[in-house]
Parts: sequence; structure tokens; C-alpha cells
Amino acid sequence: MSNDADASDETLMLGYRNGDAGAFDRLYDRHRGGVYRYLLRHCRDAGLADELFQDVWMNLIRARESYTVQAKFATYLYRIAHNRLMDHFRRRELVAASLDDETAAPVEEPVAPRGAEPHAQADVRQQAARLLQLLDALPLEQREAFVLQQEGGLSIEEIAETTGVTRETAKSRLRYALFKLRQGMQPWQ
Amino acid sequence: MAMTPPESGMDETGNDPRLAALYRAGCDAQQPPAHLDDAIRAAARRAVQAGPRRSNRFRRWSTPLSLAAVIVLSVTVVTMMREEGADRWVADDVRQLPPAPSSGIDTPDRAVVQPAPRTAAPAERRMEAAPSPPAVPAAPAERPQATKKSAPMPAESRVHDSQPAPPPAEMAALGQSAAPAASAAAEDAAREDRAAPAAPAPRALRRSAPAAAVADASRSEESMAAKQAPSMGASALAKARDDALWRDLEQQPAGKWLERLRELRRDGRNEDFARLATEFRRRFPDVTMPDELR
Repeated sequence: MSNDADASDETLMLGYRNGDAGAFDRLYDRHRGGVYRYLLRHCRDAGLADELFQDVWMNLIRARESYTVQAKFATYLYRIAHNRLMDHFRRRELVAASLDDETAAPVEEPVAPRGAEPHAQADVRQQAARLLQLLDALPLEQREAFVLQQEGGLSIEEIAETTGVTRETAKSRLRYALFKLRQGMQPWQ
Repeated sequence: MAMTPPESGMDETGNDPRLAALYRAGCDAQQPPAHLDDAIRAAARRAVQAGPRRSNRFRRWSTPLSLAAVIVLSVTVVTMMREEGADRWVADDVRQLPPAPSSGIDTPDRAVVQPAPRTAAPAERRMEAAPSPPAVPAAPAERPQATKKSAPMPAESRVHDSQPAPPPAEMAALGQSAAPAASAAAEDAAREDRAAPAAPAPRALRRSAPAAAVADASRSEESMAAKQAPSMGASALAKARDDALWRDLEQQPAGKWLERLRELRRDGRNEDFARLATEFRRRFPDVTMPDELR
């Protein structure tokens, strides 16, 4: 079953639950980068991200016997990652500081390239770096909504399910995130 | 002032291809280190090779096994303590009894001197004595007679008979302890039997060694048992208590666990709450703990 390259995540996870170690390897290859970046974008510390990353996958391994397909596998996996991240923040008492959008770090006014056509001079890498800078300045919830969408390919409903909020809340967070990012990237448009 | 994003600025999926492309360009190089990949893959393979979790099978039997262990341990400790108490009582009585006039077997001097080396290994004696409950119901009035005639021998006596050479001092002391029961000290003997029916005559003989040595030995054994019993029982008790806490939740979905957590929080059982919450997190890593339970 796991030899099929097109096997869905859920099929692979069921295969792993039933003892197919190869299924896990393929599942891991698909999601390792996304989960790692999701954690790295939030804790901003490579060493800590490594630790949390390992915990997330170990939790998945431990919980494999109880796995049933109730939602998209990515939702399940990122929910584990979200819970682990929240546990970490709770321990560090960082959540309180990041919960309030109003107290979040303001998005800095981007510095657009001067003296030349923006589209001609703006290097993709420079724009990407600017985008990450803007992303880091977002409140945790908005940043999480955006990263879940990009890394996990999750829909608004799935983001809501992963983060334990209503669909409207998730949609609002994502909307704010996109709005601020677009606004910050305007000089390059 | 908070910014309000325009409603029309985002489609229903919330996707922005340009931002997505830039994000990919900035982030795709960020990958977990290779050693983590290896460690996680190895852990996944180990988990599969180990088969179904041992704890699942073990968990079914853990509660009855723990309870059985606790019961056996408790009974053993209580029995030992009882024996210790009875032996001490008997030893004191024997020491206080007047010397027997004459048993015709040995002299009282030897009876006092000889048993001393036998107290060197009281633990072994107690182990020998333990499997002889038939000696317990020995009738008070019959006991002295039985020891005198040695006709219906108690189990313990038989055990000692099978040993190489019964010391003569034991026989002397036998007469020493038996004689008063038939004579003017019959009241004392009756009191002894009433108070310590589980102490057959041969043990009383062994306990007729110097009282200080016997008391020291029994005290040190008691303290050892007292030290060992709680440490052995504590982990088993904690395990049994944990199992009891979520035994009925074993096959239940996360919702039931959360209900139980709420109950514990409401009842102020913080320690149980913490233990159950830890177990919950272990079993349901993908379930978000509600805010009121955090």
C-alpha cells in the first residue's frame, strides 16, 4: 500500500499504524519541512525548534495506535504541533504577551528601493526576506494562521480546527495577516 | 488604532499566490537537521518493531496484579509483626518462669547456656515457622502435654526433628517450660496460651535465649520490614491509584476524559487533575485542552 507514490497521507498513516515503517518514512518526507518551519517561525530559535520538532514526531509515533481517519492528516499533524507549541509557550508564559493583537509588534513601514524601477531592482530574495520580516512582526495567531495555510496547505476550516477556534475567528486572523503582509509588501508591487 | 482589512481583499480560501511564492522562496531552505531525521526515523522503526505497545497488554493486568501484590505484602508484613509480638510475649514469659524442678533430661544450667547460638539466625527460624499454621489452633491445655509426651507433634517440631541433632538444651528447656504449666504456674501458662496461641512450645524454647539478643534481633528485623514495606508498596499503590483514576476511561474518547478533568477541577482534586491531565496529553496529543482546563 505504501509503495504507491500517490498514496494519501491518511493511507500512509494507517499503513504505519498497521506496522509499515516505510509508510512513515514517506509521510515524514512529505511533512518534515513544513512542520519544522511552522515551529521555527514561532519560536525563532533553531535549537528550540529542533527540540519541539522531535517532540511532535515522537508524539505522533506514540499515538499511532489510536490513529483513526477523522480529518485530513495534515490537520492532525499540525494540531499536535500546535499543542506542543502552546505547551511550550504556556511554560514560558509567552502566550499572554502575544494574545492581544493591539500589543503586538507593529508592522514596520517597509523601505522601498529608491532610484530605480521597483520591479527591475527588487530581487526575489530581498522580497522574501522582507516578507519573513513582516511575518515575524505579526501577532502569534495571525502568523500561525498564515503559516498553517502555507506549510500545511490547510483551509480556513482546517486552520480553525487545528488551532481550536471558530471558523470566523480563523478567517479573521488570516485576513488580518494577509492584509498586513500585502500592505508591507506594497513598495515592491 | 487597529487596522481593519477590507472584506473584499481576500477570497474564500484566503490564498494570495504572490505572497505564497515569496514565502516559499524565503523559507524552503529551512529544513530540519539530518541527525534529527535519522533519530525520528529510527524511533518510528523501533516503535513498529516493538509491535503493539506492551503497556496496552500489561495495563489490563496491572490493576489486579498491583492489588494482589499489595495484599500479599500487607499480609506478610502483618503476619511477621504478629509473630514478632507473640514471640516477644512468650520469651518474656519463659524468662520470668521459675526454673523447672527436674526434667530428668538435662540441667537448667545447660538450658540457659545452650540455646544462645541458635538465636544467631532468627530470620531462618521464622521462615521455618511460617508454613506451620496447623500449630496455631493447638488447645491451651493440650500444649504442655503435647510437648511433654511429644506424641502429636506440631509441624514445627517435626521440622526440627529432621535436623541433624536436637540439642539437649532444647529438651531441657522443653521440660522447663512445660513443667510449670502442669504445676503451680498453670495460670501463667494459660495466660500465655490465651495471649499467644500462635506460639507453639518449640518456638518458646528457642526464644528462651537471652532476652536482650532476641529483642535486638526482632527489633532490627521489624525496622527492616518497616523500611522495606512502604518503599515496595508505594510505587505499586501509586500505580494502582493511577489505574483506578482512568480505568473506566481506557476506551473512551477524549471528550469523556475532558469531562472527568472538569469534574476533578471542580472538586478541587488538583493532584488527580494533574495526573489525569498528563495522561490525557500522552494519549491524545492532537486534542487541544480547553482554556478552562489549562
